[in-house]
Formats: sequence, C-alpha cells, structure tokens
Amino acid sequence: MENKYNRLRNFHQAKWDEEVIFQLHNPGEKGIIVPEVEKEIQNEIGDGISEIPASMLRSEKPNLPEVGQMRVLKHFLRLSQQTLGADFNVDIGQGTCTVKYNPKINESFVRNPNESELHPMQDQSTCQGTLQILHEMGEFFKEISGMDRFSFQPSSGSHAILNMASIIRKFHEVNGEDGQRDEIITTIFSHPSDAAAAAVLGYKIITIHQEEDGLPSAEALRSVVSERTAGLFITNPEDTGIYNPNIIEFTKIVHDAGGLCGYDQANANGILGITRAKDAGFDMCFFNLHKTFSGPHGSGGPAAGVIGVTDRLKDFLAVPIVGKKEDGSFYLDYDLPNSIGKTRQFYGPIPVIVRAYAWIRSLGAEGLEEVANIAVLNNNYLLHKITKIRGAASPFPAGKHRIEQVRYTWDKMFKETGVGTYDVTLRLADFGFHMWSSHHPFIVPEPFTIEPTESYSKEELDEYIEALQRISDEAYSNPEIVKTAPHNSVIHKIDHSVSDDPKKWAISWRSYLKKHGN
Amino acid sequence: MKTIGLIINPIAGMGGAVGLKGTDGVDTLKKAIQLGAVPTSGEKTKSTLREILDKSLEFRLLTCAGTMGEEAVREVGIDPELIEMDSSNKISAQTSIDAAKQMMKKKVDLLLFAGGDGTARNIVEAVGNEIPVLGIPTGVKIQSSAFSINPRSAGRICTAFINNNKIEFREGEVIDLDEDQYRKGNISTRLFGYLKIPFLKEHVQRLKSGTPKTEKYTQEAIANDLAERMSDDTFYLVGPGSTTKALVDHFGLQGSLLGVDVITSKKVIANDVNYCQILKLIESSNRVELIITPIGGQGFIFGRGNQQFTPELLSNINKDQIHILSTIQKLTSLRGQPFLIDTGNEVVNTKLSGYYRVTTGYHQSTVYKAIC
Repeated sequence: MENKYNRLRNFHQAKWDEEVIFQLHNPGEKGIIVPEVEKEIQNEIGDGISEIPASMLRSEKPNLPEVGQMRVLKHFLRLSQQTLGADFNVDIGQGTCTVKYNPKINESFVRNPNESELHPMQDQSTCQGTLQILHEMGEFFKEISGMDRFSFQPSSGSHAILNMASIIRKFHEVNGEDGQRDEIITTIFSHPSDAAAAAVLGYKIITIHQEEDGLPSAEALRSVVSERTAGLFITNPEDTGIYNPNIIEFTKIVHDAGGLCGYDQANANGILGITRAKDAGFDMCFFNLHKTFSGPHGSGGPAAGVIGVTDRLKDFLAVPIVGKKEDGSFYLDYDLPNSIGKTRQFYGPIPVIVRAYAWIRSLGAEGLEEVANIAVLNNNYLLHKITKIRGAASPFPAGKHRIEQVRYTWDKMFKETGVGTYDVTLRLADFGFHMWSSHHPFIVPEPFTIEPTESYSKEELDEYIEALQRISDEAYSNPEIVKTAPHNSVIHKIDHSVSDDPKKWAISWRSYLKKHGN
Repeated sequence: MKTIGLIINPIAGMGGAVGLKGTDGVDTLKKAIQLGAVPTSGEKTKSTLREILDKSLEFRLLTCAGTMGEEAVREVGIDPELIEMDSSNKISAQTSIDAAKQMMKKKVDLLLFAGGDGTARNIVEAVGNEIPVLGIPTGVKIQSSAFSINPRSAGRICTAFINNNKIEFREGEVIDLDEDQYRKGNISTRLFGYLKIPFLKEHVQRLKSGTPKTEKYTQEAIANDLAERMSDDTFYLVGPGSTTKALVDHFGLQGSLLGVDVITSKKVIANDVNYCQILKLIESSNRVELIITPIGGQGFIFGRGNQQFTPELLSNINKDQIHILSTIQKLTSLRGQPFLIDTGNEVVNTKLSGYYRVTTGYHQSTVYKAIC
C-alpha cells in the first residue's frame, strides 16, 4: 500500500511540555537589564520619570512574566515547532485565504533600518522614500482596478469593508438620504465579512441565495432593491470559485435604485490583469495585500486592505492619502472635504505595504497577469484530479469550470462511509497537510475549499492530491484509520465545546486564572 | 451509563416495495403481504446497531420483545433489557405508542425508533418533545425531519450521544400524508408535532467562523425583527411551526404549534382556526398578512402542513402580504433547492411563485425562490 503513495512523506510533529509564558514567571529574573543613567546626563535632563505627569504613571507594576532572554527564545522556538506554518506544508487547503509564497527577500526591505527605524511622528521631509512607495502603490492599484484614488488606511479586509460601508453612509448623508437607505445587499457565497462589517454600522443585511447554477440571479437582486438600498457588497469570483458573468447587470440594477457598489477583491488572485472593478461598474473596491500580493498572513497580525474609489467618491476616502507636489516631493493630504476621517492610527500598515510593493515591482504588469493565469491553471488541474477521487465532488453546479479556488464536498463519501470533512482534516495532519472546510453555514455539505495559487509546482500539487486519494481509499476500505486520526500529531481530538461555553473560554491569562483558578 | 430505548416498527417499509405508498392500517398490511412484501425494518436497524457496537461503548439497551426490537438486537450480539408488554396483541400503531410511553417512564436517555412518518406520528403522540428521539429511516414515507440520513448515520449520532460528544438538539417536524387520499392521487399532509432530535454539530473552524447561534436564539431574533415591522391595524395569520410560534411567544401570547393563530394589535384573537373561521375573522379587516415558515425537510411553504391556507384564501393574498420566517439552518438543509408551493390550484401556485425576502435573523434576510 505504501508504494502506491510514493509522494507522501512521513511526518511527526514535535511535542514539548511547554508552559504558557506566564507560568515561566520567576520573580527577579530579567530579560534585559537597563543600565542606569549616568550622573552627567541625569544632571542635564533629570531622571526621566519625574517628568511624566502623575496621572499617567502606573501605581502598580504591570503583571508581566519575568523571564530571562534565553528562556524566552527557547519558549517561542519550541512553540514554533508545534505549528504547521505555510512554509512547512503545501498550504493549498486554506481556500479563500490565498496562502501563497512570501518571498523571503522582501523581508530585507522591511527589516532595513531605513524602514524599521522610522517614527510615525517624524517630519514628512525625512521619510520621502516611504511616502513615495505609498504614492506609487496608489498608482499601481489605479492601473490594476481602474479606480481613481486609493487609501492605505485599512488594516485588514474586514476593516476595508467597514471603510466601504462608512463611505456609503457618508455619501447618502451628503445627499440627504442617510436615514432612508438602511439596507446593504450581498450574496450567500460572498465573503461573510461583507455582511458582518456592514452590520457593524447598523445596516440591515439582505443576502441573495444562489440558484441551481450556483450563482445569484439578477432577478433576485431586482426583487429587493428599492429606495432603501444603500449599497451592494459582493465577492466575485465568489467563494465557490465561480465568476458571476452578470456582474455588470448587478451593478446597474443597484445604481438605478440609487445605491453604491463595493467590490470585495480581498482575493483577486484569479483576475489580476484580466478584469477590473471599474469596468464592472463598481464605485469602490479593496485588495488584501496579505493575500493576492504575497504578504504573509499574520494570523490576526499585520495585514492591509487597500481601498480604492472612483472619481465621484474621491473625497470620501479615509485620510491621510499621499499626494505629489509639482516639485516632485510627496506629502500627507488630509484635505478631503467628505472624508470618513481617520480609520486607523497614522498612515497604514507600512511593512505589509513595502513587501507588496517589492512583489509588484519584481513582477511588473505582465507578471501580475501571469500570476492569475497560473493560479487558474493550477486550480483547474486540481479540479480535474480531485473530482476523480471517490467520494469527492464540486457541486453548485457540478462540472463547471472554476477560477482560482473550488469549494468541494465529501458528501457522497460521508453518506457511504461515515468519513466526513472533519475526519479528513485530521487525517491530513498525519501527512503534514492542512485542509479548511468552509465558512458557516455549510451550504455545501461536508465542504472543503482548495486554492492552489500560482506558487505551487505540479509536484507539490500531486503530493497533496495523493494525500486526498489515500484518505479516500482508506475511508472506503478501513474507515477507522481516518476516524481515529491524527496518528502522528501531538494533539489528537480537540473538544471544541469549550469555545462555546462562556464559563470556560479564556482569551487572556487573566481571564484564564479567573475562570479556572491557579 | 446512558440508557438507549429502541422501538422497531417491524412492518414499516413493507407497503413501499409493492407500490402501496405506505403501510398504515391493517388492510394495507394484509394487501402488502399478499403482494409478497417482506419485513425489512429489523434488518435495516441492525446496521444502526452495528455502528454502535463497533465502538465498544458502555450503555444499556431497552427494547420490546420479538420483532419490535429483541430479535434484531440479539442477532447483532447485544443482550437487551425488555419492557413489559402484552405480546399476544397484534402489532399496531397503538403498540408503538404504548411502548414509547413505557420507555419514557423508564427514563431512557435517547429513544430510537425504526419506521417512517406513520411511526414518527405514533412516537410524537406518546412522548411529545419531552425526551430526545431519533428516527431510523426504514419506512416508505420519510417526509418528517425526525430521521437520520440513513440507518448507519443514526448509529453514528447515537454513538456521539453516548459519548456526550458534539451533540446538539433541534426540533424535528413530524408530518404525514393521509395515505388513503395519496393512493387516490391527492396529496394531503398534516404537521403532527415536533420531536427533540439530536444531531451532530457541524465541524467549524472556530477562528474563522464564530459560534453558530442556537435555533432558539435565532427564532427569538427573527421574532424581534418581524415585531418591529408589524402594524396594529393588520390581521396576521400565523401559520404552524416552532419558528412562527416564537413570534407569538415574543408578545407573551398563547399560540398553537400546529394550528393557525390570528393576531392583531399584539393580541391573539383566535387560536387554531380553520378556513371558515379565518374568512369570518378577516371580513372586518382592511389588511391581512400571513406569517409562515417552510414545513418539512422538502421546503414546502404552501400545500403541506398548513392546509388551513386554502387556495380560495390564498387567491386573495399577494406575495407582499406574506412573511416567511426561517432559520439559516433550515434554508441550508434544502441544499439549494427552492421553496415549493402545491396548493392544488395552478393559478394560485403561479401567482405565489417567485422571490421572497425570508427573515433569517434580526435585521437579516435572505432572498430565496419559491417554485410550483
């Protein structure tokens, strides 16, 4: 049996009996001993602390663990061995997230002191290089999307959607229609953040369900637009990987009703250089630099959702944007009459922007288009191979060509063998792989969403396919192997019910101690 | 240790194989046997039991003597405890009802029954939604959403139940056809009640998905949304179902789960009304609106389970007078299939087809198509 799966590699995860860093606390142990200030300096500027107003001084020390440098280093290296990051595995099982290679050379630009030592309060004349990068990025994105102006304020995709919703609200407010237009329309296979971030602003959310062909229909949209429509937020291709060919009709229907259209291009990997938001009739759009543009996913850490608008919304963007003077110098422009204001501290997530800038510069216009072409080719190669695996299928509708990702189903295998998506996910860990199911709710039963991007070679895709093939073979011959997986991981089944129980969950050490005692 | 109760309706499914569309009633069973039908219910139940046995779990199994449980259970190698029943009586609907009542008295933690919609009707009559119940689909008619996908998956759910693992409960509708009418070519179904059905919680990736809301929470959210939009001068006809009943509960009123209630100015003016009463009540009103929820796993919005809304009544109702309430889970379970309308009147069916804005939560709705 082993020979049949000669691509699969043996893998066994490391396991350390590692404490939470707070448990490493040893009173008096220090990471860095800060030298005392020399007498001469003290005489000149005082002790430094008595200058701080009493109202701003802590009365108690912060409750931080006291741990020596070497122990801290070991602690985090051990933890890192217990993860399965994008640089370890063929990370194509995280569809919609566009996990691709993050070129390591781009780190050198970000870690260069010219970037890393910048202070956000320093004079604009002293950081012209960084402002130039922001300005040129704006120009690149104008080409990519057809939009007329960009802001780099949002720190994530959902943050960018919130910016779009704020622009919509401000636009209707300026037109005296804010109270009346209180509905945002989206589709069931658009990213769920399109609904969630708009709901944060108090909008009522209308979701269009897909038809038998897997797409939302223009007729359904027409049935709900009205004088109450504030706007449309839509992902295209949708999370199923299917491109909505009626998108121009969609934006027209919404415009005719007086609404605005926002394009969720968080993941634009299949359409770079192929289609443009403006040509499809959108008033605004955003891109996630940590997806399509090769920035690392920070797991809730550094991200960027750059947002662009057409001419008529030019003055509504979040400030500051970067302008260019006649003498060629760059400046921060806060003078946008209808601006939704600042939506983040300072000027945008600069390190993420610098990495993406380097990536775009290394590829050029032709390279960006090639990214999309290879991503689509890779995806349809996988589609062809995976739908041949027993028990797997690509529904809504079956057999249709997909763009950059596919939402597959194990429904047939689950019904026939009892082995479903959850079991496959755990079994894949035995081969050093990861697989994501889908956003909730599971419209596609027993779902899994695969997105290969352009990064992976055919050899690596074949290795992943072989893992899926082997698990399917096991499900039909000896399902217990799959049902009892993982076998090579150090954590086996996780009881998720804890995260449903307010008495047990803890998102900080302090709340852990409160709920679970010492 | 958990106690699992098991009732097998041994004749379930026999009518189907010989084209009788069900096995309700003594005469039908006779006819089925004459036509060569053989019992399969016990055999199918064995695959459920094997799934539990494989896991070498500790549990007590309580069942009925003979073909109503004991035989199948012993054949897979389990030694059951038996409830006391008068075995000299012929097996009938009443036998299932009596057995279920006894099981409830004996405090079973989960009651498994093997049968179809007819058996589900008997069980809901006996135990209501007091105890967890799961149907093993062995009958001809499986329209109620009280059954697992297949007999083996009932075993998997039961295993998880015994392990206390990943189990949640939902209300499962029990609906059944009038078989005599059905054999004549007429569809006539009724909603008989709700059973408390355990199901396996979907695996969701927590970080990206958040916690799915419970059915009860969602029903309350839906009720709050609609309550905001209701006006005092309108008569609301609230159709059967737990989602619509949550709206009546929202106003602190007494509603009927299976009937049509009439509300106006936040007061119930009649419970469980029939067609004639509805007509009489709404004569005096300027505006009438319907509040309904899809019935059954197949997504019918008219023509199944709410026949109080006759074609005559519906011919005077336009789409904008209809509010459809549904949890997202219920919509998802339709797997993309549209709502269905089958009132018996083509003109009415066509008029009411098209897109509806279904209320799915507080300030949340989904546009969903209905076809006939």
